[in-house]
Amino acid sequence: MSVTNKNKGLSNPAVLALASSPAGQKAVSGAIDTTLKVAKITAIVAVVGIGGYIAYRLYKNRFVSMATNSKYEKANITKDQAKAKAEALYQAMYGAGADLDIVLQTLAGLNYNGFVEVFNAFGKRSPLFGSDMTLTQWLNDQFTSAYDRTQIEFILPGIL
Amino acid sequence: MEANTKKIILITTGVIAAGTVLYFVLRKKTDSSGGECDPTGNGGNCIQVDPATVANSLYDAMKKSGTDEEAILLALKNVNASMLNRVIQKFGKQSYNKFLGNQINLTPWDPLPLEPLQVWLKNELTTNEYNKLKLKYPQLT
Repeated sequence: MSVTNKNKGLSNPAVLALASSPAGQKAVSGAIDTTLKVAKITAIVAVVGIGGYIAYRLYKNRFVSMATNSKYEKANITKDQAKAKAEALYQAMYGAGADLDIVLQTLAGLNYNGFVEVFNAFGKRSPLFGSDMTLTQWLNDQFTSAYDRTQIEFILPGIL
Repeated sequence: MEANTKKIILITTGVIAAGTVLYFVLRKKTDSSGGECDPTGNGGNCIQVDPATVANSLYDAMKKSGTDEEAILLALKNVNASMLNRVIQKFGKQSYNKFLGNQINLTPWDPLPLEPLQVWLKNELTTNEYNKLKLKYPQLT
């Protein structure tokens, strides 16, 4: 009794005898099978989890377009003009410092649905650092001083 | 026959499901929220402000030496180009000392000239600020 207590694991003669017997071999291979199964399931769960997380991030960060408002007049610019304006706004705001004068010039005269067109043409664009932002997020990110915001609100009320 | 029917039902269900998903993905978004007027003021002539109130706030922002540019922009926020003409009308002509930017008359024997809103604005604002007004109001010169 005292001997089996001292020698544990494979160095225990009783365990060694069991492991080399046919029934013991079966038990060992069964244990290996179980381990492999567990590893497989873990791998599948990990892959599905990571894939699901990426899909969730892509979905959450997707660009949600703005709907044109049927109550107001149709957009007073064409799709191509909207694209050009979106590009001009991006150029004016990208990088260090933002050119408020160009932003104001670009926004001036748009009606609500015209702004929607520009917003949709802008989509989500990436800044130098950080994650992609929509046009409204860009404007709010770049122009934080009260006077800057008053000027944007003056040129195009109701968009910030 | 049994298997065939099952297949047809499956395919039909699949097509309907795909069609529903496509419909919701591709349908044109519509929006009819918000007030009656286009908030930008550039969608037709929708009256949002009282020209007399605007004219008064502009006068208050400019009558003393020194200009509150922000107050001018805030007062004009919901005034679109055609609305400005009515504000100009309401403002009328007010006595103005162009050199001091206020209404102090240094020569009692000679009353100050009466000036319209355009002159007041041009004199009170810097060129850069005035150009921003021109972006919104093409009729200003």
